[in-house]
Amino acid sequence: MKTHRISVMLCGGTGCIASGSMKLRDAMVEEINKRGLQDEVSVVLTGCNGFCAQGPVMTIYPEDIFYQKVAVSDIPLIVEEHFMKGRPVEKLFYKEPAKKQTIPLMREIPFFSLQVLRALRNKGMIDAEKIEEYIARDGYQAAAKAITRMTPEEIIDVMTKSGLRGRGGAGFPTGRKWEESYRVQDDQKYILCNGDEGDPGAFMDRSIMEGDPHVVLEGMIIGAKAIGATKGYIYVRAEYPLAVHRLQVAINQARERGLLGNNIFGTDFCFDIEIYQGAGAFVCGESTALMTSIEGKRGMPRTRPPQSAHKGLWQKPTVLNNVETYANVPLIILNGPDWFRNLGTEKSTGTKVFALSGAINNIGLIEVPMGIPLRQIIYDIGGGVPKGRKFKAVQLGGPSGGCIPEALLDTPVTFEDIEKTGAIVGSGGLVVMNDLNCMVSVAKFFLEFTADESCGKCTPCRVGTTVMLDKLIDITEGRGKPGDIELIQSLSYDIINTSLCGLGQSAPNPVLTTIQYFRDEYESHINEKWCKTGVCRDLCTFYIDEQKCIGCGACARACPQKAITGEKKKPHKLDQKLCIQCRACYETCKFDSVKIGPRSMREELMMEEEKELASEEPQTVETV
Amino acid sequence: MDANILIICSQESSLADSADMLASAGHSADCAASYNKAEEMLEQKNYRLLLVHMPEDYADAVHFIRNAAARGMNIIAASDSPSQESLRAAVMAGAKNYLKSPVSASQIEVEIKKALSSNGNGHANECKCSDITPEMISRLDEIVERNRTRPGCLIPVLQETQELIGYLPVEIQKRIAAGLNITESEVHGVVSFYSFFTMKPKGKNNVRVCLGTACYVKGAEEIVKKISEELKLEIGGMSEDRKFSLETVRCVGACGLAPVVVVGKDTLGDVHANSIMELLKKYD
Repeated sequence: MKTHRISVMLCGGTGCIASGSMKLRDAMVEEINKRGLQDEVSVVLTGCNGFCAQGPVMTIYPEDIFYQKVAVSDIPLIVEEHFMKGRPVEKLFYKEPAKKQTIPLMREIPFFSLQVLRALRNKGMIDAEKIEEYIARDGYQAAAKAITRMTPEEIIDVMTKSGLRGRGGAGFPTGRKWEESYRVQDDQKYILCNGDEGDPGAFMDRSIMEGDPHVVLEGMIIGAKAIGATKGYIYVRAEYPLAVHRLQVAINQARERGLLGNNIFGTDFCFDIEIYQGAGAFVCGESTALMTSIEGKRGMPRTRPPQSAHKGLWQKPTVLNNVETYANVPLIILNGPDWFRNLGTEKSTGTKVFALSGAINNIGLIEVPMGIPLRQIIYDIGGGVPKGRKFKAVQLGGPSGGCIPEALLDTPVTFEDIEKTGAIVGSGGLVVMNDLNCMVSVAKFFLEFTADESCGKCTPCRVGTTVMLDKLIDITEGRGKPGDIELIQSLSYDIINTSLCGLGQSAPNPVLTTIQYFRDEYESHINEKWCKTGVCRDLCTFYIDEQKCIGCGACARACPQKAITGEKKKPHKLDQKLCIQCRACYETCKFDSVKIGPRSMREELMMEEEKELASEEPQTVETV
Repeated sequence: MDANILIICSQESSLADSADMLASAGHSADCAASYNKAEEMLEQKNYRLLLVHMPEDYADAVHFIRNAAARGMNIIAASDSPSQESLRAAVMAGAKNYLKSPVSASQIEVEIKKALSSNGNGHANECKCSDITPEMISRLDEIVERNRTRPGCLIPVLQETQELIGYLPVEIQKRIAAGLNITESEVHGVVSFYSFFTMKPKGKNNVRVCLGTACYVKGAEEIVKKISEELKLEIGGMSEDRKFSLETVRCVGACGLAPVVVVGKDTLGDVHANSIMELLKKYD
């Protein structure tokens, strides 16, 4: 085997590919060949590194140097300076936003150093399309152990003791799920993988499927052995073509090596996996809906019991787990349940992957021990809110979750504690909102989503979410009435209590949590017709505070309507008749001199403008 | 009035009876004694109505009905010895009605009226999707054939078909239903349920704006507005020059690059309402 002096781990996740990492690879290989370094430097396209916002990113081993935002034009520099002369390129190092210092080594960047990688242990380390690289990092050892040396009872026992809970949202104990299905006698059982990552703002399953597809297969093989399944399906969203491709490559490789198919590891255990592509329906993330979708029908949930463990896909006993759950399984089998429990809390063991996005500096994918406070995730790993803006809330759990305010940021991230706030851990989407976000509009956004994605089976969900949405639209457009909040709340409880599946039962969560923590915003929308963030155009008036304006002219340049005028270094004026409430001036102003008033102010200011105009006119006559 | 009726019957005697009956009602009709002959005649002339006789062994008749239905023909099946099975088979294959023969003059009168009031004939239907070539149709049949025995094959078949044709118009849905031996409503139910399937043709470049949370809080709505204003199209619509179509999608999972727009297979990150039109210029 060839050994290389230097390994370049170039991120080939969707984010970095979109930022141009394919071109980088070609340029890098070409440059290396040109300089005759092909035997010394290897270039590997890995799965998602996790630090998406800084993409395209690469890590250079053995030093562990981390380069960010690399352009094709930087390649000759890297090859010449770093690979040939041994001087890493400083201008591509990570820069700490707060302290403005550069950090060359990946392991020292806070974003990485505070993480504990288990489900994502192979991220950025292997070529996702090579089974050898997965095997070299202990891949398929756990499967071998489970299949050749463990009974189903032993596997289930280890899983139960580990305390692993489903990572897809509901947090059901995996061991118990497997045990229930194991106890059912049937000639055919199925094991399914839920890769229908529908929550907006969540992309951890995508990253695992794209970056480490074999770990999903291995987890499923172990699960199949435990429950006695012979056939598995991976249900992947149609929006994830790269994940489908990489999983298919992995399945083919596993079949070639006898890790899938008949008589795996020379035993009488037979198991095979097929990919099933979803077709774009959020509700298909619900277990029974997912199964009806695989059956080729409209993905609608059904009543339970019977539980899927007894009658699931094609009326046969079925187990469904999330991608991240499967990614945890091999390590638990290899290292034992106690090792797994050494991180996390009593009831929420192990680690959890989160997708950080929104108004946060370090956007990307992270894996942290359960029980870590939210504040640490947002400020230490996430690097806080950019551009000096103020943190307002963090949305957890997508359309089924809720918004957690600043005051509750010390909440530890466990299934139980997060649930107490009204949000849920969910699949792990973590979207940060700053002071520019209107919480009523955020609630409206999520309700638009659920109202649209409701499958239509249960009336409370189908009609209830639409009625709630209408109310919220009324509030954001200035037609809110006193009593609306209470009406929305009572409707929410009806929807929660009378819907069949998780979609309906959790759809009101974003609304309820925003009412709970940001009730004042709802009230000012309804009573004062005032959206203090300026998001709801019908409920705000932008004006310039002449005391504060230093006349820099930034707002005037940003204004698409040319509504702002004024001399340099003198307070500017905003013409209400021209203003379209786009908020560009407000976002641009660095001196806090663009203000947002209630709707009623607009008329007052317009009258003032007219008065001024009237009083100015005689003057102009005089000067002429 | 020439109603352009074609009678297909493998038994010469019944054929003559039916033709006589139509003649007495004042309609001229062509007759075909075999399915092959009938297919030839369909190629040469536009028929408003096909009257297909269902013999006891009706497999070939069903096959013929399915093919003719896929061309959008109005088909009436008739049988001397009606049975639930043959009725089901005929209707599933695409027959509009199922009558007991001999068919009376008044019955045929009703059917002719229905046929005349329906929108044109099969060829007119095909014209609506002028972008669908015969080659596509034969490849569609291949897809159906390859998958039909697989359980739960409808969604994969629809996905492959959309990949092939670009969208799933009603005519195509009917053909798939006939091929898989399921009802049209079942196919349409699935097509309309999943957002990935579309019944409208797409532009050369399909522009998909992500409306996931991260993109939303970073102004994705403004981008949608800008595109629909500039290209004068609505969400789900296509620009007049057929170059662009616009869709909004649920989170594409590239939140690190928010707001994100996917054009064809390219993912564009960090897009702004002011920069999107410039970016779209590259796609022609």
